[in-house]
Amino acid sequence: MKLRPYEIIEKYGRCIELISMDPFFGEITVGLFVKDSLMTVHSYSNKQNVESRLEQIRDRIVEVAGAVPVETNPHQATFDCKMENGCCTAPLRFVLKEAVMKDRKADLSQGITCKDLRSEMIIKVECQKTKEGFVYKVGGDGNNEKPEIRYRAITNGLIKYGGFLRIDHFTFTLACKRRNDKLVNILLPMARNISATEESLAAEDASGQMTTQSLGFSVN
Amino acid sequence: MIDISLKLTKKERVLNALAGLDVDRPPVSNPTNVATVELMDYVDAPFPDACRNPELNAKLAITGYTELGFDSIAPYFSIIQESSALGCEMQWEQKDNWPTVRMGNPIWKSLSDIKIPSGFLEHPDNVAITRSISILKNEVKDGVAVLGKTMGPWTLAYHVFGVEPFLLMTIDDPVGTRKILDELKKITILFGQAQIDSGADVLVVPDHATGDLVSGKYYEDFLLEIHQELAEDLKVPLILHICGKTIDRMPFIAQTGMAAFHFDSKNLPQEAMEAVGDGIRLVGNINNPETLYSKGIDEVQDEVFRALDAGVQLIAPECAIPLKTKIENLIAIPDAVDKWTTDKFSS
Repeated sequence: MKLRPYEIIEKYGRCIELISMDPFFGEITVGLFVKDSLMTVHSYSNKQNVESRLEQIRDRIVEVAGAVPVETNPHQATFDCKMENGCCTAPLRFVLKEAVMKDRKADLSQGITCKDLRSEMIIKVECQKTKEGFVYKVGGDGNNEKPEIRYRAITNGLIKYGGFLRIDHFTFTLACKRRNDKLVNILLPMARNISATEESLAAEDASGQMTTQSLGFSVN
Repeated sequence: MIDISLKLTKKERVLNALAGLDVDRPPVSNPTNVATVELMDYVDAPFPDACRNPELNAKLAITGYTELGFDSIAPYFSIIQESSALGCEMQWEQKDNWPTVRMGNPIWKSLSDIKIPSGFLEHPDNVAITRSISILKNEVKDGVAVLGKTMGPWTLAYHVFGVEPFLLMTIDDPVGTRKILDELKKITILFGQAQIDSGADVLVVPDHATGDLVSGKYYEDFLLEIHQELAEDLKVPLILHICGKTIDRMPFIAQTGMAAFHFDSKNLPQEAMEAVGDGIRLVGNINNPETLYSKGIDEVQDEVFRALDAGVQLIAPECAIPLKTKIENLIAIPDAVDKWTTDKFSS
């Protein structure tokens, strides 16, 4: 029997991100709910085969974010750290968007890399195992006058969007000190241009808001 | 006054609060939309179809009561139905965005252009609302307050003349502007009365003389008298809605004879209560973009408590909620009102 919204909230917890229209499945709204150590992909849609699409999205979360599928529920996943104290939840906004809106696999064949948008550099994030756990360091090919400025900015972006812990200007760890290259990889394109990412997030947030501005009843 | 020994239906609670009578708890009554993209999925009634088809409209609107636990149902989700029926150019958008009037291409230029098309009330976009109200009344009988909505003449003027041309008109020809508002008021009454005839218990009158665009003096000069006339002509409680900062016009709004004013979070509840005095009840003013959209249930509760502590009589989001608002934050509103009432009055 179909659960009502309050029952969904009781069962699956807080909805931490919503995609209002899934471009690959009938424009359904997809939510990512988190309760304790579990993420649940959910939609209130009654469309035929919606369950399969939700399973597909769960599998994509596993694929693109390094999550671990829950064997007993095809719509649920977790992280190795069990998301204790909210660990690994900060990037989930980007994870759900990637899982629902895109149709590409995580490509780590060249490591965690991407082309910088403000220089000619190729940015590279490398992971090292230390006594305290796994540490990520932002670097690159140095093909710029002052590459440290860009490495530092990108580190700031990764920490901002990932909720990671800073070690110094160029290094950070996940809060759980574990290794999850896919999670870092998904954030790197956003981290290389914080202002553009912020603008994009603000535009997303503004969509569907009824304000004097959106109605055209304002000079602001 | 709150008397928890009263056992009121949702409708009685709303109507009592609007009349300044005792209630068992403050009602949660939304003059504007509370439908979300998730609720659209839940009942298979997405925008824009749910704005244009009465059955879908009613299916979506009733979730405000059945799923969110609000005391009222507001089936007119947007602000454009009559303008569509008048012939304005429309942008209906899709599920996750609001239909709007293309005000850059206004349909009228002067007083002489104003003509209510024959069959105005039979236009499908108006029937979507009136028929939906009938469906909803049949469904909830007298258990829940059904709120209709009819655009005030100022908002209609923005739609049919365009915002900038209309505002310039108010400067260049204030006498002519008043005549225009008088003519457009007939549309407000016509559509409002049709909704009353369909069973609306209350009418919301959005009239966007917002603080962003015009002063409180403008409100007094152009709209106070018209709003007083609306309150006399439409024989159900009226809730005036104006977005934005409106403190400077609240003392005038309190003289309209309308039952309540739906106010924006840009106005502090305490400040608003002082501005209106005993002249009118207030509905509001839970912030949309920050609190309901971005924050969590604790912050929603805090804001509900702040409004109630200030004496706001009916609790609601400040305006139509963002369509991506999470349901848990909306359910948190009636939960917070219950908690506040229990904490204050059950001892």
